[in-house]
Amino acid sequence: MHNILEHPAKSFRLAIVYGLSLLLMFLVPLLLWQNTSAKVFTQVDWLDIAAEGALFIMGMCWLMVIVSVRPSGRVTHLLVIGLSSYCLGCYLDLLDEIFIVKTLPIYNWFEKLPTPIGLVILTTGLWQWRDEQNVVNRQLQTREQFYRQHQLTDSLTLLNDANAFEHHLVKQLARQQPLGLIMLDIDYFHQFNQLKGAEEGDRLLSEVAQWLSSQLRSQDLVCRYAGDRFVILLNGAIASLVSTMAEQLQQGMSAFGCEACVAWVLPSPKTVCANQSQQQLKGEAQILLKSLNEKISQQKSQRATATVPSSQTMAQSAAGTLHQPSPPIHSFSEPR
Amino acid sequence: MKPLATWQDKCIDSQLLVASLVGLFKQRGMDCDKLLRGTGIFITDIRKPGHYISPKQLIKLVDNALTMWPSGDLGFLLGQLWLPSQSGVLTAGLFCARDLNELGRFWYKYHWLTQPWLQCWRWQGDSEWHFLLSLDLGAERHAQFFIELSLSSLTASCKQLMGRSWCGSVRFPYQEPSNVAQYYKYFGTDISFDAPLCRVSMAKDFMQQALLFAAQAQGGYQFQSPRYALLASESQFGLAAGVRLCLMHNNMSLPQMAEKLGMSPATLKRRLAEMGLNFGQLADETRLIKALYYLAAPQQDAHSIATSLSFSDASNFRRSFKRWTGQLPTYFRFWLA
Repeated sequence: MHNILEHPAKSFRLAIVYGLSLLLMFLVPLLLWQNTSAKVFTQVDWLDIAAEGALFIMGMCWLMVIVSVRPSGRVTHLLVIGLSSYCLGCYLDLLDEIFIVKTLPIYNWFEKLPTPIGLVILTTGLWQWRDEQNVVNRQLQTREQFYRQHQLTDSLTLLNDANAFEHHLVKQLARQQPLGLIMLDIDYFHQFNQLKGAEEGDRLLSEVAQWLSSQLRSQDLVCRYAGDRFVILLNGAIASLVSTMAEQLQQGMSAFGCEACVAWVLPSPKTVCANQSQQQLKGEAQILLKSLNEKISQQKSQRATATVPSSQTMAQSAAGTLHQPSPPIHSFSEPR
Repeated sequence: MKPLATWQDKCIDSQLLVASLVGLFKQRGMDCDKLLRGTGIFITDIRKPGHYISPKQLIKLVDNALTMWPSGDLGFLLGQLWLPSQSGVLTAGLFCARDLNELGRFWYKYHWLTQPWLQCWRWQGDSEWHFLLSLDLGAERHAQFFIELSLSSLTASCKQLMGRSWCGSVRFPYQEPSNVAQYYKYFGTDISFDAPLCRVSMAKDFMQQALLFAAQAQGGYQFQSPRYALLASESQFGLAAGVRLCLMHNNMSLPQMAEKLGMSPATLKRRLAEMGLNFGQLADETRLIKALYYLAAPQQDAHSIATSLSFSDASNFRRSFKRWTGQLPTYFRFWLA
C-alpha cells in the first residue's frame, strides 16, 4: 500500500503546519493573559463560544485532510496557507469571547485580518485546483472517462472494476453511439502465480493494466473485469478498428512474456433502440458482457486442448513438491 | 460415531486456510493484527503443526477479513491457492487420482481434514454428476464466501490437474451478487442464482478424462496419511452435518435426535443456535434434498413422494415445497436429471 505520508518532505510539512498552529494556540492566549483581563464568568456567551469553537475545529479538520492527502506543489501550498489563515482568524475570534480585547488597538486589527485574507488565498487555491483537476482528468481519461467513484476502483491495478465498467457501458448505450467491446484474458496466469509467486503475479497484473491504459485512444476506457481478465470499451468504433485493436493487444502481450485470449463484440445498432429505460439498458449491458465471457470461455477450452503437452510440463513444475523439478515452461519467456 | 464438532471445538487446522489468508493479507501489505483482532488466534501459532482453531474463531476471522478486503474477490483468490497450499495431507492423493471421479471419491472421504465446513451430496443423473453442497460449522453466516472459496478451489484444481479449464454448471442458493464478474471469470458462463440449494454439475465424460499425473500413482502410499489423520481426528462431522446425515436416513424429531447424540434437547438447541441454526431448518433442508432426489427419479408422483417424506398428503407436501423453494415441485422435475 502506498501511503503518501511516508514521504519525508510530506511529514516535514505536516510537522511545520501543526507545530506553528500549536505555537499560536499557546502564544496568543499567553500574550492576552499578560496584557488584558479575562471576562467575568457570567459575561461569557457560551453559545458564541460553541459556535465559533465549532468553526475553528471544522477548519482544522479540513486543514488536516488537505495536508494529509494532497501531493505537494503550488496549489497545495495555497490551500494550506489559506486554510491555516482562516483557522487562525476563527481562533482569535474565539479568544475575544473570553478576553476583553477592545482595549488593545493593534490587536483589534490583527484579529480581523486573518479570516478575509485566508478566504481570498483559499479561493485562489481552489481556482488553480480546478485547472489542475482538468489536467488530471485528461491523464486518467482512459481509466475513468470523467466518471469518478473511488469505491469502484480495484485496489491492485488501480483500474476501475467490473461494476464501474457496467455503469460506463450503460451510459454509452444510452447515447446510442457506435461502440466496441474487447475482453482480454491472460493465459496460464494461475500457473504463473504458482511458479513465480503471487507477488510476481500481482506485479504482472498492474503492469498489464498500466500498459493497457496507455495503449488506448483517449476516448476509450479499460477496466479490470475479474482476476486476470480485462475489459475495454471503445467509443465510436467500427468493426475494422475493433478487430485490429484486439489483434494488436494480443500481440503486444508478448512483451510481458505471456499470451492472452482476446474476444471482441460490436453491438449492432439494431439491438439498441430509442427510449429504452435504464433497466433495459442495464440488461442489454449484462447480455453483452455475458456474450464476451462466453467467447473467452470457448477460446480457453479450445486453447487448452491444443496445448496440452506444454501445459503438462507446467503443471508438473507446479507440482514440484511431489515430483522432481522439470525445466521451466515455454509460455513464460523473460519479458523483452 | 465420533462426537460431532460444535461451535467451540478446535477442529480446523490453522496451517491451511488461516495461514493462506494471513499470507495473502501480508502480501498485499495489509494490517494482520487488525485481521486477527478478536479471533483469539496468535500469528505465531498459525504455522505450528497440530494447531487447531474453532469454528467460532474461523467465522470471526472471516468476518474481519471480509470487512477489510477492498474488493469482492477474496474467496476466489484463496480458492486458487487451495492446491497445494491448503490441501494438506490430501495433496498427494489428489495429484495421483486417475480422473475426476476418483478424485471426487477421495476428496469426499477426506475433505473433513481440509474443508470441514462443507457437506456434499452426490447424485448421478443421466449424463451428469450432480453435487449438492451444504455448509457446516456455522459457515452459513458467510455462505457466499465459503461457496465462492470451495468452488474456486475446485475449478483451480481441475485446471491444474487437467491442463484445461473446468467445465460444468453451478446454481447458487443466493441472489445475484455485485461481484458477478468474478463468477463469470472463474466458474464459466453456465451459472445462475436464486436456487434452493447449491448445485454443481459436471458431465460424466468430463469427469472420466485422464488427469495429467495419473500414470505416476503407485502403491497407494498417498492414501496412508489422510487415513491416519482422519482416524486420529476427534470428529469427522460438524454438528449440522451430523444432524443432516441422521435425518437423511430416517425422520426424527428434536428429542429423538438429542437422545441419539447423547445430549438433552435443550443442549442440542443451544448448540445449534450458537451456529445460527435451528433444528427445523436442518429438517427442512434434508427433506428438500430428498424431495429433489425423488423428483428426479422416474415414476414418482407428488403423492408417493409425500408418503415417503412422511407428509400427510400431496397438497401438504406441495405447500411445504413451495415454502422451501418458492416454486411448485414440477418446476424442479429435471433439476437433478
